[in-house]
Amino acid sequence: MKTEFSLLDSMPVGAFVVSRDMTVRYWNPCMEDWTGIKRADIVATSLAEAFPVFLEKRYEARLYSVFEQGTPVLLTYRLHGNLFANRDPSCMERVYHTTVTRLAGDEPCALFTLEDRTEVSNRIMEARQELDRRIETERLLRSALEEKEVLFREIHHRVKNNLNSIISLIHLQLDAIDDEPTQAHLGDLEARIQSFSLLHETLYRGNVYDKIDIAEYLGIVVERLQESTSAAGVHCAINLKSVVISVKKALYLGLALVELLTNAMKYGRSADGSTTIAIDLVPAEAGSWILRVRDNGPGISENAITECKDSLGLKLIQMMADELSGSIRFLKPADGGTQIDFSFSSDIEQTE
Amino acid sequence: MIMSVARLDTLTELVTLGIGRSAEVLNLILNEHIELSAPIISILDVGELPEILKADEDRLSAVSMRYAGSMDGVTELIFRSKEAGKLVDCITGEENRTEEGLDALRAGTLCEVGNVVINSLMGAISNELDFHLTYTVPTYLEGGVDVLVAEAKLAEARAVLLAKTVFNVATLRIEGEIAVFMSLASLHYLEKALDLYLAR
Repeated sequence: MKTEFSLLDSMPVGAFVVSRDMTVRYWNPCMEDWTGIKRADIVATSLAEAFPVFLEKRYEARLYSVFEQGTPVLLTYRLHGNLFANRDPSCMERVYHTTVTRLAGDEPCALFTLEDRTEVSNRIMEARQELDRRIETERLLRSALEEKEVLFREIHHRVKNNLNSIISLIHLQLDAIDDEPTQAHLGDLEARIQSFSLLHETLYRGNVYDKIDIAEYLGIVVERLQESTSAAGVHCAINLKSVVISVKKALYLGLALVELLTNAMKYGRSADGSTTIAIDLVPAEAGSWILRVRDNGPGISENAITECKDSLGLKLIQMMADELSGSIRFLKPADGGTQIDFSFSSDIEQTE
Repeated sequence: MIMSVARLDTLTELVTLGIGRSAEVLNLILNEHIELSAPIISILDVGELPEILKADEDRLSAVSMRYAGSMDGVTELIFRSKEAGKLVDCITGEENRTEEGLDALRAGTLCEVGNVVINSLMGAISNELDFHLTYTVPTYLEGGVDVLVAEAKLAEARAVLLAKTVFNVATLRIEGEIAVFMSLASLHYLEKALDLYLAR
């Protein structure tokens, strides 16, 4: 069949021509393949016989603008579905975008061209499914992270409570003992455990569980130690930089500070009975920091240092210094008092 | 650019007529009831468009159809891309997607909406003013305002009839612009056609 529309046979898209009364004038081989309808069976019949959807008013309105105004009309898959479905339901459903344009000529005709978007559509669907999977995975990860944070907080809360229970037991024991040296030992023990408890309390209040702001933590340690010792006339001047340190190192540092402070409170009283203790955290050589505790007492003698070396407090400070690859130095400043420099190395992150 | 009040009023009437017809057609083909209005129209120099659209940071999505005949130019239905995505998802009843830009299928749907609006609008103007135009098939454009203006400049357009358009679909209110870009010769032709229409 050779007609004025034969050119459509070589087009790689579905194409057919209808006249103003919607009679099919031409049907190309691609349309035969895609619909399962042979040219001979549809040409000269109404398009609506094979595809009754074209009896609907919405298509009448759209096609009116093609024939009467010459405006091209686009019919997309998402708004119209598969307008030209294959007769054989087992055939793969194709995704078409259909464009209808008016053909110039003596008799007004409209050319329908069907662009196959099946592959594009499948790729988009796959990409969307992948995107949805990623969004779901991200949601699950967030949920797992939130759950982990809740669990961490809960663990720190429980550890803090258990340590506080131990502190309470020691406190009860203290009340039942009259022997002053034993009371002093138990008081020191209580202060050490308190430093652990405060670490967990600080972690519980924050939202990071592997690092801690040392200024916040050591500040509370000093405050609580002052409260628990009820030492009259003790004034602590704290000058700690807000820096972040690993929890493990913070634990050693907290315990070392407890020992240094306890020592200063015991032996750093000045002649007028008052005690002023300055606590500083200062950067030293590359990668090193110094936790400095200085009192305004009479100053420690060499003999006292030698005697102290066998005390549990000093042994603990030395152990903590070893753990932090650091050292301790006893100094006697020219203007009086005792200064102990506890140096340690750490990959501290400054936050201010 | 200045157009007389009488001409501008007539154009507003014709744009309203076209927008009304496009709403009727869209309501026949869409899942959702849709209301359209184009309350404000103006005639501008093409160079004023970036300032008017104020879309320096926003990505724009547009449906573009060239026209030729008694007048030459390009008509574009323009949205901010996020708004275009919302409009498409709302009228197809799909879950609102958050990704930037429109994929080929969603762009195709927007093209059909733009096709209906532009056909109705241009049909109303050309029918009432009694002149003839031919059109290309609608295409989708996405990018900054410069992409839209470049398309207009290809058609040697110097003036633009801009109609602020509001789509009310379900609970959504989506604002867009219809921009009819035209050459200066086409603008003069339009003015003469409006004068003849007023003199009837």
